[in-house]
Amino acid sequence: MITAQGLTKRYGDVLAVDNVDLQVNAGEIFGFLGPNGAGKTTTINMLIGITAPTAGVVRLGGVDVARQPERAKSIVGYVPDQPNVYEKLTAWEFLMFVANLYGMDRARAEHRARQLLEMFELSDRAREQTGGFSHGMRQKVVIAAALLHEPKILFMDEPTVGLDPRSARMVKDILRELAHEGVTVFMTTHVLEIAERMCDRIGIIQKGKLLTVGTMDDLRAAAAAKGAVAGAEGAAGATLEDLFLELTGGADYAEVSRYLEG
Amino acid sequence: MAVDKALVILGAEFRQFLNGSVGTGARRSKVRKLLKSWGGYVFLLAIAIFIGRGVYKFAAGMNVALADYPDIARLIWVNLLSAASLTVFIMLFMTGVSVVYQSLYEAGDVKFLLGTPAPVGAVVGAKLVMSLVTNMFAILPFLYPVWVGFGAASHAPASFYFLVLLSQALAAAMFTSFVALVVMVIMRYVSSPKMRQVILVGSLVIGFMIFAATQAFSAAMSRNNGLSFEDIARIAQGVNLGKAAWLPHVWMLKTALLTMPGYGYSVWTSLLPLAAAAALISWAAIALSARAFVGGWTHAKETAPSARGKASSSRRAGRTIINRLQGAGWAIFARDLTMLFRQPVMWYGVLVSIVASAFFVFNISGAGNPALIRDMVVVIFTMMAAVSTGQFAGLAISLDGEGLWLMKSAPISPSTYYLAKLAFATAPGVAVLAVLFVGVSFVESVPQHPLYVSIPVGLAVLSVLSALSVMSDAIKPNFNVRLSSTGSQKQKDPGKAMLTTFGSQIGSVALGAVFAFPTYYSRIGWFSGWTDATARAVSLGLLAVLAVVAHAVAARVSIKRIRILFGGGLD
Repeated sequence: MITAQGLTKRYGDVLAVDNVDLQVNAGEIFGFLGPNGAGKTTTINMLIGITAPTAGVVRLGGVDVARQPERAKSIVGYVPDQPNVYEKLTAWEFLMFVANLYGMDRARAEHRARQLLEMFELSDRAREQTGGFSHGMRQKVVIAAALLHEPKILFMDEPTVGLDPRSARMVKDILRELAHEGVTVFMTTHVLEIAERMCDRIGIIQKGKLLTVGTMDDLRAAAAAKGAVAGAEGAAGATLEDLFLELTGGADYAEVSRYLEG
Repeated sequence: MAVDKALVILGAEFRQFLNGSVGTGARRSKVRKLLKSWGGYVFLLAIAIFIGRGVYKFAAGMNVALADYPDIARLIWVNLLSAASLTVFIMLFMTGVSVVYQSLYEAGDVKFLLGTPAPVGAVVGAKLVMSLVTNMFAILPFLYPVWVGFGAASHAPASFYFLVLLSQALAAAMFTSFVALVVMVIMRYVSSPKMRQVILVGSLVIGFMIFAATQAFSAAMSRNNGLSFEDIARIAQGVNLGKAAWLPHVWMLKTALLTMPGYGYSVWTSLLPLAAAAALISWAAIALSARAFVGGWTHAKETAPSARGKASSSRRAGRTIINRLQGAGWAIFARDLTMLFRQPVMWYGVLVSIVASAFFVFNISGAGNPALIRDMVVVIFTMMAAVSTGQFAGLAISLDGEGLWLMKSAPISPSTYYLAKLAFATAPGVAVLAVLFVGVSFVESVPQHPLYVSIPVGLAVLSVLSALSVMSDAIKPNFNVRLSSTGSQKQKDPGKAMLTTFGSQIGSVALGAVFAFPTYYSRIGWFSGWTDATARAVSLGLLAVLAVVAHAVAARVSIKRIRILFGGGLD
């Protein structure tokens, strides 16, 4: 469903994303992890066609994003890393706006919007301008907007940031249900526990390079092969956090731990 | 202590300005950023030089012509410079109100600053200084050169140039603080958001009307054509500066002329009242701020849930203007209009334009060349409509602000997006134009074209100006600019706003000159043999061709830029 070949992004002398190859299948939840500034958001932006790659090709549902951007975007829902919504619009107006952008039939749009607002417990705030909303509420509005047109692919950049535990749980349940229905979910997160529990496969990126892609077992094997988590036995019981820290620079973390422990 | 804190805040504001203009990166990118950011300012400087040179030539010629009548020359200059001083306030009324409002109530850093130990007075004081600087930037390039031109032609002493600058700074300070006072009182003591908007806009418009009504000079001048020196002297005497000594623009005028030989004004009737008024109002605004200024009003709920219960709010939400029609183009157009209407000071600019146009009609009614007035009505009304909405048209694309991610990620074709933005940029001006043309059609004493001529011509000119404004925004958008209504990192871009407003003025004058061709063609040798009908046909034909070409160019360039923007090519 998502295919990226040789995806590269260079900003002047800085190589933000370096020759990334990816394939994510239909109905799969793919977790994209990496330290801050590793290139996660840049990669997502290139995948959905809102940042032009320096090199490489992206196909969404078989459609080349560079050649047919509108067709490709019509099957995508996107939740950005910051829930920037139009503060002078009400939540309802925002959803109707998004529905119109995606060419939804009015009756269907209104029905879906009511459903989603109800689900995210925003029904009673639907007529308020989003400028008065908290970060979490805006995040819910943005997630509702991404789900409104029933996309085939969902890109979510840190979807649970700012959400209360109940809402975060709801988002996780929704994502599982969507994947079950065949929707492809591509998400980044810093909450490794979420990635470990939810994602079918995980990709780890660091300094623009895709270090590894695979299931949790694949990652354990990769870490063990690197000799980082005290051999194969240690790797077997390692959490994603252990693997992530080792693959992306555990030595630094250990240094910090030692400092904190005095 | 409060002054120290205010200086710290001002230092940070200045640092931000420098970083935004000069950049913080490597030397090469710094230079590139410097050139890009300051290109607009260089353009403004060129305009200032053009204005100054023009006034210098005019003043030098007039001084020579009136060399034997020094008293009459002084009277004429006093009145012309009085009009220039008056223009400072008119320009401040046109653009300065939104600057003050946004600086106090829409700046992203106000809440943060109020959370620090800095006293409220220091925060408001710093914001007022920044508003003052922005307002000064808005008026100086256009009005300071007028005085410089006059001063150079009249061999003014060096102190004259400083006093002119000082008088304009004090006037801007007085205005900025006064508006802040009014805005803070309304925002603090009126609880309903909609009522706040109505009272805010209403009181400021009434303020402008009172201000404009006190100015009889322009009416007196425009009612008299072909004046002799004696007539001018008589009119000048009629506008007795002694009687009008309480008016701030007269204080400004006298302050500027304090050290000018031959004028002999006293510091007690010029600099002192001007400085005292500026200081007093500024102090009052800062003193009031401790009681009245509360940050975060912009995030107040504009539509509260009804008392009948919250559960079915979304069910009652139903139809909005945004989903009244189907399609991405309509959605973008309707969304932009909805957000624009919810800008508290948006209506102010429109109403001030309508009031100013009414004064213009009053001034020209019942006098002069009917053919010229007919064309001037169209030109001036179109210019007022373009200027009143130019600031929005020039930000049509930047309005998407940090919400641009949605435009980029949604399946919108660049041409649909462009057409929606063009419609949005043109619509408010169309409303203003319609009100003005239909309104003036009831005033029989004003010579005017029939509505089937004036409205299409006005629309053609307005749509061209809007298209060019959208194009300029597509070429160099600023997604952090104010009025973005998304996110919290809003900034000012006075250079961009000024260029758009001034560009609209120049454009409407240029296209107006094409339309008004029949009023002056006979004075040009080549066309002297033409009839009025031929001249009108040529002017309308040329206007139509220019409109089509301008639209074609604007659409082509804009769509190309939007395609790159949507694809991330401008990141």
